[in-house]
Amino acid sequence: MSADDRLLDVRDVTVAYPGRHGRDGVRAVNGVSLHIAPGEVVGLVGESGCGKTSLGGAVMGMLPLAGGEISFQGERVDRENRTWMREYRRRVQMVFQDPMGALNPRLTAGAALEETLYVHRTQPGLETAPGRRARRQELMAQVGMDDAVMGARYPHELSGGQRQRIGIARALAVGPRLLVADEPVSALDVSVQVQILNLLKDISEQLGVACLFIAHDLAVVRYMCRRTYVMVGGAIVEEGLSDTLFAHPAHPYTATLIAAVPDVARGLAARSR
Amino acid sequence: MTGGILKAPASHAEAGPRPAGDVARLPVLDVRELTIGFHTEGGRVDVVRDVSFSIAEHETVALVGESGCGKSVTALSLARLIPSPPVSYPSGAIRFRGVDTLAMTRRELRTLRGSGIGYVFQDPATALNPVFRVGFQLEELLQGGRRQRREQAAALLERVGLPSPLACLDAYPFELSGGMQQRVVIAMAVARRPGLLVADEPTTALDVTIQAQILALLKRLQQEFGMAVLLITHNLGLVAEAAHRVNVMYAGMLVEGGEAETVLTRPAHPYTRGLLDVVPRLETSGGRLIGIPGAVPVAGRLPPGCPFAARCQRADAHCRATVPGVDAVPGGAEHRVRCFHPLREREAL
Ligand SMILES: Nc1ncnc2c1ncn2[C@@H]1O[C@H](COP(=O)(O)OP(=O)(O)OP(=O)(O)O)[C@@H](O)[C@H]1O
Ligand SMILES: Nc1ncnc2c1ncn2[C@@H]1O[C@H](COP(=O)(O)OP(=O)(O)OP(=O)(O)O)[C@@H](O)[C@H]1O
Ligand code: SF4
Ligand SMILES: [Mg+2]
Ligand SMILES: [Mg+2]
Repeated sequence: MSADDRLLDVRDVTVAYPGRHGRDGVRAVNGVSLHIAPGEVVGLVGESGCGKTSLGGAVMGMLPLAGGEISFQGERVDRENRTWMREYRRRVQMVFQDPMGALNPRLTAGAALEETLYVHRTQPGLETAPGRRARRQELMAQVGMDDAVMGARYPHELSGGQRQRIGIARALAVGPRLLVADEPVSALDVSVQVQILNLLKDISEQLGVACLFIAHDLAVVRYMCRRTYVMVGGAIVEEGLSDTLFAHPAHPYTATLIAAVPDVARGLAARSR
Repeated sequence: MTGGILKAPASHAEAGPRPAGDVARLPVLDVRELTIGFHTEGGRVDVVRDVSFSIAEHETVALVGESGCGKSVTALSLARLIPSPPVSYPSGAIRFRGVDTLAMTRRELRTLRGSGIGYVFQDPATALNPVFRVGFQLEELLQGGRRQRREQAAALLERVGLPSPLACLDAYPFELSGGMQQRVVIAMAVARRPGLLVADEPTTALDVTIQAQILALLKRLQQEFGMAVLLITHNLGLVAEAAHRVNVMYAGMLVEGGEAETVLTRPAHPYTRGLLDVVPRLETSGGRLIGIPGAVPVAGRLPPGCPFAARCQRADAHCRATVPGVDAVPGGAEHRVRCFHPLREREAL
């Protein structure tokens, strides 16, 4: 794939948080390069605190870069260019790790969705209130929620999984080209996980939406992502086709991750020893 | 005593042995025929119905079930953490070391929450106060002089596997990654050596190596002071590794319960069987995962009969009309199921 075909191109990116009281800052991401083709679902795995969320934040344009460059459809992501960023923020959407923190506690689930749609009311189909309402219903159905009942609930009246579905519906609301999904299904039980994973897969296949899929569940990553990057201590240590990577891990950390995956058969075997 | 075990390479933290004869002892927690309702505009909606289970010292009991089935509401009710109204307990009892928490005074409840039951909430971000440093929030829970509390706090953070405990004590919650926050919350929950630890999805924000460390830590604490653990999770792999017994919840009711090994290898309820079939495995690649078709009925709009009937291939007219009662499963010690047509061993759906 030539560089021109890339939807997202992250080159040698460094993200640093400033230190307080004259102490050293934290280099959360250190010279990372990765790329995503249109419609491609790419996995990013790594230990807790290795910089995955920070890298996601940089891709979203929410964090300044201490080094390197990110481009989207060949154009550089420039946080100073307000007009360009407005369009970018429509095309690139985030699904958060923490669904509660991302929702306004004073808005019902349905109102939260309509608010997002209202922000983008210049988009076709969203100009009128009935249009937005219809889209809201469509989105609720897409994430498997009964709009009549669940749409009227406040975030604290929803279960963890129900809140995460609202988060996903909101990210899908305005037809993004790229989703940055930070642990999108780790709060969901297995049977709902399956529905959401299949949904995300359908979206990428049918609508051609690409996804940077951040997760620590390797089984989920293998199922979702054709390619995977493994990150340790702010740097990418291994990348490749998921099937190859999980069958023949090259880096010791990848191997450790694979060995530690909890599994029903293995768990039961371990205890009867 | 800082956990030397945490420095060992990640290993499977299988459920530890239980002391013999524990069944006869007074359980730490005993929930009997508990129903939990919410007052809404349309009247009372019962989101948890007729739930009974118990947990003994040293024991880990898992609670699994689909999103929205009532796991967190059950967990929060144990120390009465949801204000009433909106919540109410129309029937049943919750006994902590023999005392009914539903009859406790405010003062007794404060003691219960302080040192009786420790919580790891599902959402770590909401459990931490954003304006105070981690150290302040953790040290507040400990006893002794300032210096001593700080040392204890650092030791706790080391035990939950945080790489630089001292730096963490000085950090504000937002300066930590999701998984680091989760581990701080776990440290806070066990700081006072609670008799019961309620861990609501304690490891969802953690990668598998840290997850193994946390399970090992919990097991070690159980050995040290007999802590009972209610482990709420949707990860059946975790149940297999860490739980002695498991209860499966569906639409607010317990539909199956028993020894973890029995339930996971010989599920009797069609829903449990479905859950086991949908777990994505590391060997799974590409293709499409098959879920359980349909969705959980919404509380307040429950069908008259078995709540699982609309999704169950074995449902008949009887199932659709009558709520099944709890029956013992032949052959399994304390294996119970709420189903008219339970699966027999290795029977297909
Ligand atoms: N706002 C901040 N200020 C200072 N340091 C921060 C801030 N946010 C994150 N960090 C630090 O940057 C590092 C990387 O954090 P990040 O959240 O990117 O990790 P992660 O890979 O997403 O981890 P997890 O799997 O636990 O979510 C951590 O050491 C964290 O403490
Ligand atoms: N304050 C409330 N008012 C009304 N209904 C509520 C309230 N809190 C929770 N519920 C409802 O009670 C049911 C059980 O919710 P609960 O949070 O216990 O689910 P859960 O099993 O923990 O799910 P998850 O796995 O998604 O966390 C849900 O249908 C939820 O919408
Ligand atoms: S009672 Fe009937 S509908 Fe319910 S789970 Fe059993 S077989 Fe299925
Ligand atoms: Mg993160
Ligand atoms: Mg919950």
